[in-house]
Amino acid sequence: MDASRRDARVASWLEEGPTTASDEVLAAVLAHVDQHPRRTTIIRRWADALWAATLERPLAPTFRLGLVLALLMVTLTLVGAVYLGALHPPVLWPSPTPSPLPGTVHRCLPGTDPDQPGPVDQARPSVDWRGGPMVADASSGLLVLLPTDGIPQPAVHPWLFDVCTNTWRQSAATVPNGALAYDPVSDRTFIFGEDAVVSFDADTDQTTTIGRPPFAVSGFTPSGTGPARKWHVTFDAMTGNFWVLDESEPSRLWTYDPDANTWDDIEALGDVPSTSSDTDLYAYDEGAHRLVYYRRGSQIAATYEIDPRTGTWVKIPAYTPPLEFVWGSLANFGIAYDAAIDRTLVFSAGQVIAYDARAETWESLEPALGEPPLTDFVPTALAYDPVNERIVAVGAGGDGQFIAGEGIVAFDPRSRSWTLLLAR
Amino acid sequence: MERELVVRAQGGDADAFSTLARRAVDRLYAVAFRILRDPDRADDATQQALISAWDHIGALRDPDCFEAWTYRMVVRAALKEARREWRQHRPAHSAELRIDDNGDVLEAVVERDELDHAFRTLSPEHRAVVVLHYYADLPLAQIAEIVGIPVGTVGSRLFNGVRRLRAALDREALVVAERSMM
Repeated sequence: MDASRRDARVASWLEEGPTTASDEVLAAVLAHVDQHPRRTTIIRRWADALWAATLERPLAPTFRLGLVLALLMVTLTLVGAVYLGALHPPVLWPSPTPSPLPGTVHRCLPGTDPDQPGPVDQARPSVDWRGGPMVADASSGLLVLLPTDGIPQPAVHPWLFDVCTNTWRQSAATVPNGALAYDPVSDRTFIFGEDAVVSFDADTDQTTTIGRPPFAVSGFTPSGTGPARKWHVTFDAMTGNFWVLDESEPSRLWTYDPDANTWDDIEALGDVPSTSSDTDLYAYDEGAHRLVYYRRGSQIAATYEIDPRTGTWVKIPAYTPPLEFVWGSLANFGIAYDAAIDRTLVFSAGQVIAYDARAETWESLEPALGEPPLTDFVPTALAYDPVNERIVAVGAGGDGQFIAGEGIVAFDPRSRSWTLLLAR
Repeated sequence: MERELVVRAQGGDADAFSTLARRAVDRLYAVAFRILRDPDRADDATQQALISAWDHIGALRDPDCFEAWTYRMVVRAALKEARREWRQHRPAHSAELRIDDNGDVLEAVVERDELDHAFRTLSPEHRAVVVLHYYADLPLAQIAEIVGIPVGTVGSRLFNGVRRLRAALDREALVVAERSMM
């Protein structure tokens, strides 16, 4: 059978099948439209009402004068804003990025108290100064953490932290050591290891090998930095693909299609830093749809934003606070995007700063009145807990030396307060 | 006419959007069904796409692109539905034909069965590209825009997807020929 005839048969086969949606579909859509009017409608309704009121009642002369002055002020303000905008033009991104798909978020069972510390004598993972990769499985209410202790192992058993009961459990599943990202569509955590990409279901402990990377993801060396520090992986809810960024050589960026097991290079454009710095922290800002890169050298710090869809890097002109890391660039820092407040937070021992990607500004989050800074806590693994809408940090003791024994605290940026979830 | 309706819907006119939704619902459903091969899940994807269209219609810059934009919505919703199923129950590649040895096998039935089986082994992204090209008759550049991937990737997905479907037809032709000789 020749190719054109086969193609014609394929096209003909695709023509078969239903072409009419059930009546319930349109009914449900129209009900949604009815129940969720667009905001512009509400604004227009108010504007129409105001206009009608001014037509019904003749305006008093003083009120008219006030109205003219108010309009004049608004005009001057707009002119000023346009002028300032021309002096300081905003960063122009090459393409708009659509909103991500929403995922399901777990709810704590009645009777559980997420603020109640978990039992101290429970088994817990070991996380050394390199820090361990950790992500939140939003649908299950679990934080998935790969332990690090001594020489990095090529395969590990993940640890799962229940954010409702503050208890750890170690999974029986064996997964490669590597970088993590959670896919809310398939409700699985993807682990990018040295020679395999594996999906892990935290509810059932099941793993599925999806494919293998065309390069070594981590390169395990006894003295090297951990894999979480070296690679950053982000799930893109728009396409169902992942972005994989080489933190040690930032110009290397791939998109990975887990269904086809294909890797595509994304050419880096714009202000691409040529080398890594002493401290490289990456987090994906789900609100701005961009990777935020906090870069700290020996004296100064800088902020970059990356649009991974186009590979475009932009160095942000705003001042970037150089956080003081008590032990240089060893371990006592972390980064996470907080979806509840739409900010990317960077932590060091006792200090937290927040980045607003829309305004391109940093802000220091000083402790609330009466709240002491958490100077004796060294965060080694961080993740945003979408169930309780706060940052959860696994960490060790501080006070000038690294004191092993992982405790867990939660930080609520709205109240700027820390909550102990598990004592060391 | 449609442009005017889109502009009115962007301004919050629910009636205008209802008209647009009535016109689009079957077109979107047909695409969703062909990606998902399941009428109920195609209904779900269509509903989700139209609701998303209403919620985000203000973000549509060019009202003339409404049709392509709604394709994007339904493909996205269908991919979400498909991925959930596909990653957990990935169909195995199989060269076996499922034919009843006791009955006369009509060529068309075998062909449909083989194509259906081969199509289900494609990833959701490959299915979407094949459907948008062969069913919705869209050019590769527009498919790239809808699915959010480079044109070259659309081409390779289309090539690989169609190659598998062609192979299924070849297997079907071979088996039918063998059976006719028996």
